[in-house]
Amino acid sequence: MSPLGRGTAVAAAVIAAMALGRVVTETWPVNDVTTAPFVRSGAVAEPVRTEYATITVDGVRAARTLVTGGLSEPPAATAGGVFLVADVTVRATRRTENIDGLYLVDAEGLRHEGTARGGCATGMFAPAGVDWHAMACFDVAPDVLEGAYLVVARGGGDLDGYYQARDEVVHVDLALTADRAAQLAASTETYATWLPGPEPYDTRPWSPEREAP
Amino acid sequence: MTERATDRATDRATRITIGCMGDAGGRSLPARAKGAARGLGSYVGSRSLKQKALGAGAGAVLLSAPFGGLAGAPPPGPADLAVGEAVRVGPFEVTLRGATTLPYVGGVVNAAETNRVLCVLAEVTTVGDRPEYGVTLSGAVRPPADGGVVAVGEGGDFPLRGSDGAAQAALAVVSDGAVESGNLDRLNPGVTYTVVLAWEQEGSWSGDSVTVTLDGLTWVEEDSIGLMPQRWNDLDEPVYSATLPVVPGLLTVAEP
Repeated sequence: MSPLGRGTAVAAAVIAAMALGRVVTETWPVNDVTTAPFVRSGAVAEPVRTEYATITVDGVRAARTLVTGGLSEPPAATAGGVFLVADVTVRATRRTENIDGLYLVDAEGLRHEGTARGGCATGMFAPAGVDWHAMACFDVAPDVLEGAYLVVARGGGDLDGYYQARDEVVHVDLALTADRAAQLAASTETYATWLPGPEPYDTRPWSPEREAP
Repeated sequence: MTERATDRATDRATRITIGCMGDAGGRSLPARAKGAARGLGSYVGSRSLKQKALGAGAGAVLLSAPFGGLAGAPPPGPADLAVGEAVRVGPFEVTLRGATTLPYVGGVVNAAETNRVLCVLAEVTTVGDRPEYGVTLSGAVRPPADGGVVAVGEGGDFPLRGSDGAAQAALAVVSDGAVESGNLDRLNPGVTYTVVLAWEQEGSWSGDSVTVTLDGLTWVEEDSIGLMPQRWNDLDEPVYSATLPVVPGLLTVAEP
């Protein structure tokens, strides 16, 4: 082979190697790192186990008004829309866990945060080895209930999930069918609110006649 | 290069430098300036009257630059807002309804015993697609300058509204005409509230109306240093101003 032919062959080989390398790195990116959370799905009354806690949504209710701690007071909070109330139990596995993410996601993917009005929990510090009960209240437009699910996580839902990156996040199907959503949206109930704690709280509708426990 | 050669090179460079500074082409600086002025005068003289006028105008603007001639136009003042008129403020649609004073609003504003609470009644809907903080709304409402609002540190315990040290309004829900005890912390998309924006007011204040001013809010997707992205930023520029009548009995307080 002439020197010119050898040079051409070498150049062709180098270009082919570079093209092959490009194909390989684009097919199997070496610098991409996933930031997506690891979603653990569950349903109401079904414990969902994660590396850091076992999380259970014990029930879902709806209220028009809330009173603080079951005391015989005027309503502490009246919903602008309707209060969707989720009773959540968290049993941390090894250490106290800060559950900062506690919010609803509706069928369109919009996030709806809980309120502290009336004494509801917007998150909790759940100690290890203890069932920690929290009452989360979401004042939402009635038309977002159908198809909504609850998210429980250590990281909040701000910044497009930045605080949940590569962490386990629990999605709980609240079974909010059209009928169930309509039933909840029409609620005129009043419930007492309770701070997070180790004791199960009273989830029955509040009435002025009932004495505070 | 030898030492002598280096010296020669240095001398040559020095002469060239001096020549550039003082007498290139063999002419003195005043002579060159006179020549340039004559050239400019000749150039201007050959222009049309219209071109001369435009040039004079541009020159005047440039000369005024050190005195602010090139500064941007001042922002327009706030637009008048009528009672009952809905306007968009950032992610909120806000409708101002009126104002009143209350002796106290427990859990919302801890006014001194000799003072009262100035309440501005409004309706607000979150029209954005994210949950918003109540302070985003209350921070956009300036304390009425003519409402006798107690300044921070003079008996009130409000958080600061901003660097101006003014008191930030407390935000609470109104239900059946009564102010709830407790702040409205979060507003979810699509939910409408009747609310009060409340400030501690001097007990001696008397008046028939107050002027409420709303600031503009702008969305910050990414800030310059990345510490506070995805938030509404108060532009600190008033965009709406409303004169609200003070109506006694407009609101009541939920009794403790």
